[in-house]
Amino acid sequence: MRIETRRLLNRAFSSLGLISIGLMALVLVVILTPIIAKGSGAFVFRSTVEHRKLMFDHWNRGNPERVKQDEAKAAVARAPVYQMLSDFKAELESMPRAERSRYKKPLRAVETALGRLLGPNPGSRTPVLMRQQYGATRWDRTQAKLDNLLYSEEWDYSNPDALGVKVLRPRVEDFRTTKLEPLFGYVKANIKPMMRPRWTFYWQFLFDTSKDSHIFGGIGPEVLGTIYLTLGAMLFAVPMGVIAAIYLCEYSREGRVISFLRICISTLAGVPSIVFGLFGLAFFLNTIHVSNSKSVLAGSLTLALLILPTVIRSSEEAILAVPRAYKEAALSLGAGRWYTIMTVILPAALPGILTGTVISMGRAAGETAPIIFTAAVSVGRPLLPIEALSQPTPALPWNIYNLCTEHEAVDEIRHVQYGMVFTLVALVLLLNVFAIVMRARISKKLRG
Amino acid sequence: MKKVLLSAAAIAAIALSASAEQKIVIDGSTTVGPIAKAFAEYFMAAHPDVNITVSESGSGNGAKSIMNGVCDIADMSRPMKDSEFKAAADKGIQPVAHVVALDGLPVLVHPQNPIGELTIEQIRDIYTGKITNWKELGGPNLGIVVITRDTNSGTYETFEGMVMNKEKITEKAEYVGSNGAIRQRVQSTPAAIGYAGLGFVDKTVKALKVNGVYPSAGTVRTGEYPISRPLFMYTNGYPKLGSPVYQFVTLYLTEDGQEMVDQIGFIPVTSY
Amino acid sequence: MSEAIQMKRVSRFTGTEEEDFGSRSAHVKTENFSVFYGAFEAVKKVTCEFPEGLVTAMIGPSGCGKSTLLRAINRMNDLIPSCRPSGKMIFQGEDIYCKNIDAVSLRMRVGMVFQKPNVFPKSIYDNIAYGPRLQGIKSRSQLDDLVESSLKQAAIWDEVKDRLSTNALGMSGGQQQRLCLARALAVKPEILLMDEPTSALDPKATTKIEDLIGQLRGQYTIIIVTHNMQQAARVSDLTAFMYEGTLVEFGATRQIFTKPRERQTEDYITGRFG
Repeated sequence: MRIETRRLLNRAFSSLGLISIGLMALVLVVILTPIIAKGSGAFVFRSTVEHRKLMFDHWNRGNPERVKQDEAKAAVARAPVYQMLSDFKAELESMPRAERSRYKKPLRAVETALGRLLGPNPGSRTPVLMRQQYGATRWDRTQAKLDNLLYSEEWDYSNPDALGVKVLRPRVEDFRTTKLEPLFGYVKANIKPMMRPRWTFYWQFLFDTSKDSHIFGGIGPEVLGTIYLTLGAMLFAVPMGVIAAIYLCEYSREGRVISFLRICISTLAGVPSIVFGLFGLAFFLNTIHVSNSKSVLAGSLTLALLILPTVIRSSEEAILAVPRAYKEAALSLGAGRWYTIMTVILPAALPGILTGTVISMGRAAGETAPIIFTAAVSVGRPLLPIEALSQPTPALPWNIYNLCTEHEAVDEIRHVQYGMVFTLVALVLLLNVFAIVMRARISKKLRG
Repeated sequence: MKKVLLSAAAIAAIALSASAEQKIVIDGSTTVGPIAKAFAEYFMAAHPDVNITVSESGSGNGAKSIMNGVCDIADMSRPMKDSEFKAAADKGIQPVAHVVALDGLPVLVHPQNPIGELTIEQIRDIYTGKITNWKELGGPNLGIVVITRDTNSGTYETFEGMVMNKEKITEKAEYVGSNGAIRQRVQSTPAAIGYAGLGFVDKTVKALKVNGVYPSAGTVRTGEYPISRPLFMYTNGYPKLGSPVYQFVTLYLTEDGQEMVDQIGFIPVTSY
Repeated sequence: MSEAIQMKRVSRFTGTEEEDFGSRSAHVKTENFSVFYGAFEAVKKVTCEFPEGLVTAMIGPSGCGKSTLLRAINRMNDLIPSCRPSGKMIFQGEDIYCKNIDAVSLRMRVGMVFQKPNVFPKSIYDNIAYGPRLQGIKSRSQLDDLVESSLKQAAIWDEVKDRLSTNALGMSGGQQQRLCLARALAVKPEILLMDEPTSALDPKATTKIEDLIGQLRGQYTIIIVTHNMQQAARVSDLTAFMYEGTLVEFGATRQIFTKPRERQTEDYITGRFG
């Protein structure tokens, strides 16, 4: 080949490599940026006085004096609103019947919107559903709910051949010349003193239980459930996988059976995870009854099966990568096979085994399909380790899916959903970083 | 050493049996899910020693779970079928129904869609694929995107029974796995049509008048709205009086229970 | 040359003027010993005796089977699945390929040093203590003594006594090889096999190893495979020349290097082939 052609080829190849790396980096940025930006919104946000009230009522957080003061100040700012409402209701009484009924529906809409913004009217009975006990707890939701109070959404279908157009109609128009008219202007102008937004770092989001199916509170049970499931899966998969790998590398004689086994393992690694999920349901729950309902145990076993091939393959590779010389040295000193494996081969293969393990740990933490039928539920309490044997748990991957498709109030809790995604990604990332650091440390120790 | 192991095992066994009693596992309908979750929240606040877990995997899966004895309560948005009863009985399970609420089945379109009213026949024609464009119904020139629930769903079976009249749903229909997913699909697709439980209707979708009746608590309760159904919780046998499961499945009879059902958007049983 | 003649000659080994090595008793001897790799016969019906307490060098061109023969003495070839021996390898009156012989305990008595220094990725101390621990020695003071004496025997004690707990991989190649020697000695073997122990080392380190072999002579039966003919001439009492799996000539080193009986030996030694 001519030297020019060779150079050209070299240059083309290296630039191709550079482009693909750049593309990967770009994709990573595009994926991670919204996750981080939106996910951090679950932890750092402007909380309203309602949030602080909630924290105090249910988690006993915050200085009672200051929460009381906070509430009192907000109540002072809110008082005129309720005053206007009751003034208007008195005014209604004096109206002729026909006119009164004209206001009935708009008034109810205003009251509902106000309830969602500020919480129940002072003095009224406490609603049973927790979501109705508090107003908007976050400033971003406050804005949305304020808009909902100020404007009613209507649709203009005047052009029959086209789709309707959204029209925002100020609600104030329904109440012109009544005593309710100033309410809208007042709320708009005084929303800050009424809600008292303040930047908050809600780190307890990671540990708090959820209240009223994720509408309030944190993702503690989900995080704990994910950790249980992952550790449980490791507990089964790592010993089994490493032992299998040792057998395949050190004990088995190459033959048809062994190569067939190897093919089976590779195939197992390629089986879709939902198949494992269904297998887990059919076998662990319906056949051998490891527990009398979905449970962390059943989920862990299923996840263990899912990652077993990866653990075996990575351990096998790590063991095969141990220099033959170590094995020879040990044997020449009179060590038996088992002793050689335990004292020389496994320690030297440890970094590789560890890397494979932690990577499959990340996979186990993030898998949804295997736990749908075996372990995961929408709501549940954080479990004690002993309860994990018999009880199901919420877990991050499943609840992310659940929140975005099945939850009845999706738009209210987008921040929770993103917070979960963020936490899961961070968890997997942390695991991988941990693996890299561990690997580096052990290799360094081995290298001397 | 042996003694230590033995006593540890004994403690574990006791803890296990103790904790096993204190759980209620609920599985099934995504429509009943919000009620079950609100009840669970309410119940656990009063009984902190009981762990109630709720999963929403569809009525069909709920029935299967209780048949296999892997849940304590099966949420269902349709009554159990004979075949399911039989399969359960074969496994020594006796399903007992508790009707916890009444639900209408609003037909949903995107708010941009000018259509405000359809008849049952028109809806059926849309779902069989006879009507494929909103223009045929007096709307804009847009191909209809038909969204339906998966066949595992009780909502699907209700819809099939009350609207489809044994006719087959068009092959072009899109199947999704939950009420929330139907709503999500409809709110993001101007040409879509779907159906979901009353509790899932919000301002991001538009519920249609069916045969001239708008679906609301009032019209469903009086029976004016044509598509409605009871919502069930099934237990294995009638739960022992006073047991946590008993207290849970009778929660819908209490005032607080009814308020919750009402506020989530369904119709409490005592009001019809 | 017929096999019978050859066997006769080497089995009744003749001494040199200075010393009659033949009068020493054989520590290991082979009888019609062959090693097959699958169908390939790498060592062909070798019959010879390795006398006790002497240094025997095995020389020959690459692939002549000398390493295979060496590794057959402590059954290291067992690791290779396709490898199959035939004939007898007699160590202290017993055929080591007999079914009731345990390879593991055999290897405790027949130590080995390999071509490349293969220290474990452990501390220097743990490297030496590996063998003794294997034999069940747990007492710290006993181990300490063994480590010290082994390292002293390998003439490396002064270099490493202050860093016994550091990783052995941090040492130089020559030091590592001497550590391997010390490690083999710590097991207190009777025979020491060396498979080209200096081929990966620089001349200075090579000299040190050769000096060590000189010091160990008499205490152990040493069998060393080498490509370096000067080395064979320097360190060994006896030399065996192998060619294409057969043992061509076996005799006192001085005799082999000065007046070889066989033409092939002479060609090899004078560098005409090989």
